[in-house]
Amino acid sequence: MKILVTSDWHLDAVTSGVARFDEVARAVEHCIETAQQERVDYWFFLGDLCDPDAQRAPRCAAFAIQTAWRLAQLGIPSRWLAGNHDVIEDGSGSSTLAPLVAAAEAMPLRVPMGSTGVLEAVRVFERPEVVRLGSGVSLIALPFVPRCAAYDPAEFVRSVHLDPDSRAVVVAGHLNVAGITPGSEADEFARGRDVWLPIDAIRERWPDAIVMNGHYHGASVAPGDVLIPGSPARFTHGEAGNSPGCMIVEVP
Amino acid sequence: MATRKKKATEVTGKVVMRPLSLVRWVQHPNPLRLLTLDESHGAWGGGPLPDAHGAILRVIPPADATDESIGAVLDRCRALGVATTKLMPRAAGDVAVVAEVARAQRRTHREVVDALVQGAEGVDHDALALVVGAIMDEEGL
Repeated sequence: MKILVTSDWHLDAVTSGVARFDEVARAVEHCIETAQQERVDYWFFLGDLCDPDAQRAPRCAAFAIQTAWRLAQLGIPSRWLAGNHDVIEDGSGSSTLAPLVAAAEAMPLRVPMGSTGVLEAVRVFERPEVVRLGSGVSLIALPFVPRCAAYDPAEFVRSVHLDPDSRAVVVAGHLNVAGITPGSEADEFARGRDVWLPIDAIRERWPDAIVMNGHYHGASVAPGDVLIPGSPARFTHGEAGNSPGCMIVEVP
Repeated sequence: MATRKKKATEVTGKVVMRPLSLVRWVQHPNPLRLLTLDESHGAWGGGPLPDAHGAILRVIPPADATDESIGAVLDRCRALGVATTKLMPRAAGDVAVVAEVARAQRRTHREVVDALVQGAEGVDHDALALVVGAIMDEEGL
């Protein structure tokens, strides 16, 4: 199973007066081309589409919907996690991905998936969940959530019951990772509170799990073998040395 | 906030994860560059500018840069075709050690007015001093 992972689009970002939407949109287009060339089985977005109070938020949500529908038409199911910039702290538990949720519910699309039949084309995780990705692979989604829906990620991980035929586990999150040097996400892009990825609990239960996490703008492999895809653009001068792109993960 | 600081592993090419999963990063073509022309750059001495075409350029002038020299460097940057320039405050200069200046001696209102009277031009200083002095007496100054 091959997964393209992208994250931290921050489509509302403005750097020194320059709006970054068009550049990020081009980078996402490059991700879509890469997904086609690589014949990926899934597209993962690991959070931070845009801030909900940004003037451009509706345009950003529309872009996410367009991207998800394009992927569906290419036969690539997409999975979207909410990040700390996406959540709306008004007690509703909603996020900037809510329009995508509504669109997916209003126009449910399916994509074929090998011998397992069909899969829902678009799925958004605004709460922690466990789902099957097909062919014995389970996804544990650990999104960032608003305070009204707060959960304990370690407790959630310990409570997970996998299907008996699960042979591989993929953990995808948008949380803080212990041991990683904070970048702009801790200063110019700071938002929300600290919620830590429970890497010890994850490794305790599934030592071989593939763990990936958004939130950080520089691509890296963080302590605990946590894969960080990074942002599709450099948003601050502190990120001048980053190599923006996306990540391809092959699950055995 | 995050107190646990440890540099993450730098990403170079393919990474083999356990158990034998393969991870690759695909770089995007032509991401916007973010450059900094700092106070030590040779451009402040008339040297060449960096290749900043299409980049967002942050400009930090040296402490002794004049407004004219900053303007000249910004004009040269714009001529290169930068996306935009962001002018930052001048870099902090050396700390000047200023000898303690004796605090100016405080003067009374009458002393200040008398000095002004004596400095006035084209008037009879004595006559003016009498008039002004009478007013100050009335006001209790």
